[in-house]
Amino acid sequence: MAIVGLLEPVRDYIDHLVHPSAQRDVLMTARHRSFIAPRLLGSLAAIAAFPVYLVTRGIPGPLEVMVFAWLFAPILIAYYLSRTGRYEGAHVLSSLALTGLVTAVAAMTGGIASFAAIWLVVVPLEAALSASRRVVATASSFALASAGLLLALYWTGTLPAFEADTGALAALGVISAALYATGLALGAESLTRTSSWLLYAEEDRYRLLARNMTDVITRHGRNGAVLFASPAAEPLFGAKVNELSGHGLFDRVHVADRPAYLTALADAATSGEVRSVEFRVRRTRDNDPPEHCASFVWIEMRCRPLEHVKGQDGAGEHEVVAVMRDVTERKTEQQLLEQAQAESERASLAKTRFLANMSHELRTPLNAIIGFSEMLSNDGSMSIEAKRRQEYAQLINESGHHLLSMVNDILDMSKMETGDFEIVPEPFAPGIVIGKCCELLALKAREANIELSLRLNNDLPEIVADKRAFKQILLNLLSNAVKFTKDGGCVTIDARAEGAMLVVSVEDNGVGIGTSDLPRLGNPFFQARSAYDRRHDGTGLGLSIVKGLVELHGGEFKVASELGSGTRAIVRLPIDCEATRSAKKTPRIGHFSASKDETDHKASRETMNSQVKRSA
Amino acid sequence: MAKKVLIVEDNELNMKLFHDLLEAHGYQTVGTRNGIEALDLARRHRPDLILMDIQLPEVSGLEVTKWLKDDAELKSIPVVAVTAFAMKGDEERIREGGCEAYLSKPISVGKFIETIRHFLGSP
Repeated sequence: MAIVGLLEPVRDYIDHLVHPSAQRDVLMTARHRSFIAPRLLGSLAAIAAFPVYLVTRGIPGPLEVMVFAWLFAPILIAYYLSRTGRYEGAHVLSSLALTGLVTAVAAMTGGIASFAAIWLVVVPLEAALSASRRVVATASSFALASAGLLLALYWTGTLPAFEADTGALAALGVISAALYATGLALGAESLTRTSSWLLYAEEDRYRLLARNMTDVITRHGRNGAVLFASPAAEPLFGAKVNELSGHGLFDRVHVADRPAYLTALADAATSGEVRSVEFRVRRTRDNDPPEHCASFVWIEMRCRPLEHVKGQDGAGEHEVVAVMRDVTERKTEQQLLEQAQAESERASLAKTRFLANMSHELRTPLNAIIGFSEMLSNDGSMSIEAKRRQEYAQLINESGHHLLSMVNDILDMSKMETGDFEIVPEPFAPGIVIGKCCELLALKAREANIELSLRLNNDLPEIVADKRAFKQILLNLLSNAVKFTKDGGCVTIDARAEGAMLVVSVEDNGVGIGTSDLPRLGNPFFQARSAYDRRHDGTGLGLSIVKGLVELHGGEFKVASELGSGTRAIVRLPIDCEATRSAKKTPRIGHFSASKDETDHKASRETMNSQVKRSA
Repeated sequence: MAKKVLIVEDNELNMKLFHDLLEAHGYQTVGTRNGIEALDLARRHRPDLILMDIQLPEVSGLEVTKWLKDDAELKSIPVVAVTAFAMKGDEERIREGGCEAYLSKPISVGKFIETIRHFLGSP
């Protein structure tokens, strides 16, 4: 513990000496530290040992003084590295200093045969720590040059004679060199360990990131094939990573989105720019049977060409790296939003059309009212006879009533829309009401030369319903049938009991309704083929009022028709609407909501089609 | 000879109104509620003016006006649209359709007579 405590400030001091440029990289820091520490500490230890040496050996010779003086060189080199951060330069200087020292000592102690000459081997070894070939080459050339110089000096005999116990000195030289080399080897080993630890740590970090990321990272070859997919792909696509590689992912991409997917990858590879694309991928779940129930997830993919590390072959320049992310939720929301927008636009269009219709329908009777009343008030200038004045008053009155019934229709419709329409059920015989309604329209039918025939079963039960509403349902259906039937046509009313229901049908052989218009019947203000050439007047409220009233009774309203051959409207009302209504709460009627109509659309069209066939 | 006006109008009450008004002011009238018939009547009677409702059964008044204006013999007859289409843009559309004048329903009797006189002069 005490030693650790002592070493702590030393290590801090050495860390402090590492040049800032090296501190960013852990491996570089380790290298600098392992360069500075032994040189500084070794030299200081040797200098500290100098007095001991003096005491034991007495006055040193010039060689010894020189060696000790040389020990300052590593300190200076360590200082040089600390100040400049030039690692390779420091190594070269270090090799040069060591070579110089060895050469000097060897020259004084017998040349190439000197015990010190073996230290020349250490020079390139030490340089190996720099991990730079250039430094190693330089250091080796220093060592070889030194050996050459010593050999030359030996041959020329210019070296001073050296007499000593060569055996003991040789042992000293070998042992010290071996120890130093061991130190170097330990340093090298430590550096290798550091670098491989760093490698693992980095890999671990990336693996951790890849595993914990919900986004999928993929690498694609030049033809778009998946070369690598990160583990996040498994939960996203419900497939093993190896099932996705190659064309596995492409095979799962929605057929309609495949061109966009491939184009994005190809564009990223050739243009070198980031490309973004959204596409659907089939997701298989473990418990899904393989042949069906495949669900699709929306994927957003951003891809860019892979930047290769320098030194690798150029063949990979067409590779693309992509990040994929599940955007199904956003897509769904977006689609819902678009749907809602389309619906609101449709509703707004329906209202605009309603207003235009309304304006037209109100102006027509108003024209008669205002025109005739103006004529009456300008009596003086036109001198209208009394009989005519009475006729005009009658016409004004008629138009006023027409306007009133229209206003009532609108109010009824609006009440049904808001759910404020109250029905008052009472028991009555439906046959009598049906008969009365036929009488009301008989005149109009006769004028248009239309045959009105009534088929009533004698055993019609008494029903419990709102009498006024029942009458209105029949009048609306009958007047529609008469209105849309040509001269000489016929309208048939049929009523019978079917279980707990009363079924009334009104059938004509008139103009009929196109298949595309059928599902929209009963939507307020809708009149098939509405334009300037509209065949018939009316606000288009009649059928939606019928539909609303029938639904309020807990009944059903259907229209079957074929363009050109006639229309059949069928009303099914419960015989006792109070019993039915208390059994199931009548839903509020929301005619403006297009979505409801949309969902009912298919089912009702199918029923209608089958009915058309039956009636045909 | 009294000037003759062809009335194309599918609403019975309005037909009667226009008929009575014109008659009271000394014009002769021919009427139909059908656009196709209107063309025949125009050929047969050569009216001096046509009052055209726009919303008609079978074919629209605009369509009938186009036929009239495409006919070399009939195109000189002025067509006055009298219509309940009085929303924004309706007048422009109807004038572009070839009608010489546009009156919106409900009419003002004074303006109606004034417009007729503008084209036909006093009877």
